[in-house]
Amino acid sequence: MSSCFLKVQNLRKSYGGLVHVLDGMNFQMEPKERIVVIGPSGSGKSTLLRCIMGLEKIDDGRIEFEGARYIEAQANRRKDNLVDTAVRAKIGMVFQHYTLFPHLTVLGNLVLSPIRARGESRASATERAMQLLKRLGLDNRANAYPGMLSGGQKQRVAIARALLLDPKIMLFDEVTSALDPELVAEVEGLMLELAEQKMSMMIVTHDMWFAKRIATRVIFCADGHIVEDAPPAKIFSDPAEPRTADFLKKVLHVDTVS
Amino acid sequence: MNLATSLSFLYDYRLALFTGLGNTLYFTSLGLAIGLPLGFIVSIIRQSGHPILKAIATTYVEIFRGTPVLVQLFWFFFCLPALLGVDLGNVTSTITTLALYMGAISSESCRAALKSIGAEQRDACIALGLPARVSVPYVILPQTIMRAVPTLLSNCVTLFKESALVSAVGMADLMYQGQMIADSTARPIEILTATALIYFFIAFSVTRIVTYYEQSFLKRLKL
Amino acid sequence: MNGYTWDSSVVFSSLPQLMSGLAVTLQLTGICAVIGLVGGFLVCLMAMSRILPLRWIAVIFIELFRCTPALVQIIWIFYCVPFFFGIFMDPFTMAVLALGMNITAFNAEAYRAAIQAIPSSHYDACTALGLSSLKRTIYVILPQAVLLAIPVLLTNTIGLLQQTALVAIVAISDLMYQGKSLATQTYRPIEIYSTVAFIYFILSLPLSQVVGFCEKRLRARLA
Repeated sequence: MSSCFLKVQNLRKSYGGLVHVLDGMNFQMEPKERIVVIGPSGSGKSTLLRCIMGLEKIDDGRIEFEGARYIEAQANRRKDNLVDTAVRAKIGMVFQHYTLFPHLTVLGNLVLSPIRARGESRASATERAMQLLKRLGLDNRANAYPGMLSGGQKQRVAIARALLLDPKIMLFDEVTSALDPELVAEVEGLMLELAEQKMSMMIVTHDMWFAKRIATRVIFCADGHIVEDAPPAKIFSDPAEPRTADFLKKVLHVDTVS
Repeated sequence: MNLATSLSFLYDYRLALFTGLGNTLYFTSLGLAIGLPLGFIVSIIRQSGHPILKAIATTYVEIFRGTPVLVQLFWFFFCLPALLGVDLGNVTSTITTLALYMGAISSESCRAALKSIGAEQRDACIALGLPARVSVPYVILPQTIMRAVPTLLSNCVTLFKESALVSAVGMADLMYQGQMIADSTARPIEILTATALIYFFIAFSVTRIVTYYEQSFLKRLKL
Repeated sequence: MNGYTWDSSVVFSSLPQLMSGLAVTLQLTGICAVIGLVGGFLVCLMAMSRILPLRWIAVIFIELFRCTPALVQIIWIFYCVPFFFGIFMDPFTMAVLALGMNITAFNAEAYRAAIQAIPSSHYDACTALGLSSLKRTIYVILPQAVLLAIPVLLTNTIGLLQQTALVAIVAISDLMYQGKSLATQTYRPIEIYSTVAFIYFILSLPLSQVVGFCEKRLRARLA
């Protein structure tokens, strides 16, 4: 078995057997890589991330993490895949709509999983959480409820909540799409900080400028396939595939005709 | 009609009215004490249970929501002794009816609250590695209860009002006392108005509390 | 069953009398439902109007009828309206008056909640499109409010059908009243009350199915 960081093999996922969101996806990822997944809506970018997190049932294929079997489609099991939850605990994810728990304070959101699921002592979890919040400049909001925070603050708390679990890789699913434009920078800034600390990341975003800045590698998806997989400098300036060029032209509003 | 004589007339009958109110509150609170947990259990069974249990629970809820409480009261009043072969007493059959009715209507409130917690919250629980033993008591249940509280409180008011029907099966509640005094003194206006106002003040206060809870608490948390 | 044998012949022999009662029940429900649909809307408009006295009257009316038991309202009107106003109406008219006002109050609240659920951006859009406030009400607000209110209005109407059973207490010969008198005449309360409950249930069931269907359609349409 080849021992690589993250390996996605022949990943297939369809809704009702009709719409093939992921139509046999294959790729590998090395540690400290920052892969940005781009593509038109409905191309399966978010579904790919959700599959890696183990939130979706896959029809076929397998995912390996650090050389170990993590998720595998089971032909004879209709309801669930085989998911190794111990491996899943090494993966963190942040969603578009924050998904903070509204009935818990910021601090309560952060320490819930360390205390209740991992058995860390309340004192130690609280201390780590407060340190992290301080680093993010959110320590003065520790006792606020999510409903009182701005979108940018909420998303930074959501990132902190995932980071407190010491993930080996972070998945970001359109985390700035629901934010007001002036709040995007604080979240993207935090992600760039994580990049400097060599965090492994997979990011789905519509923001091409941000993609260019943070990515070590860009994957362009369409119709459930990987169309192109290249470093950002290459894909944004000289895409190999016409479909990639066409997509980039549309989203970047670059008029190359005239 | 003279206000002073009216008030002194009411004052003479205050004890009878308060005894009636005491009985009304007794029936209501016992109905609530049994009906609320029952409703919660029934809603869980309907959400994720054995198909036969689910069918029984659904039938129960539909029957009690689909028939008048008055009919339910008469049915239990006359039929429970005949069916069980033992006379449990009128009070027992009355409380049984109120509790079963409360269980049926509050199971619907709990079910709606459970449903309102979106798939995103469940996704977040998985992403944070929370097993069901953690996510249910710490994430799903608190949000369900907070969202169900306003409708459950309204259900309590409904039960309080419906409890006036027990007068029809001869229970000496507030309504019964009011009607008795009205009949025996031939002065219905004072006594019936007073009865209505007592019901009103209790029900209205609880309704205000519900509104306050919704506006201050739930809005603040943006639940 | 402990020594109790079900006697179907009682059910069949009492069906004609129960059906005559059902006719009265349906008549009451129909008339009051129409009163409630129209009256509820008018009271809702009053409760939201800019003229303070109108608003106060409407709000007091709504709260009084929502926060007291329907039975108290019926008894109060039966005893006190003749006293106060010196008019003697036939019992059926008084029952229509009581139940009609009750459902009017509940429907007014349903309409109000629906109007408040319309986002303020729609008002802004109307201003931007240059619609007068009258045209805005008729073409934009009203259709949406009625659509949004339909599930609650239907639920209230099911409630009304069940509330009509209360008029049996003031000796109007509706379904419940006929059931009561048959139960005492035949000494077979279980058969009679079960049949009565079954009839109410069968009437409510299709309506509650319609409510579920409407809610689904509405969610799809206004998503």
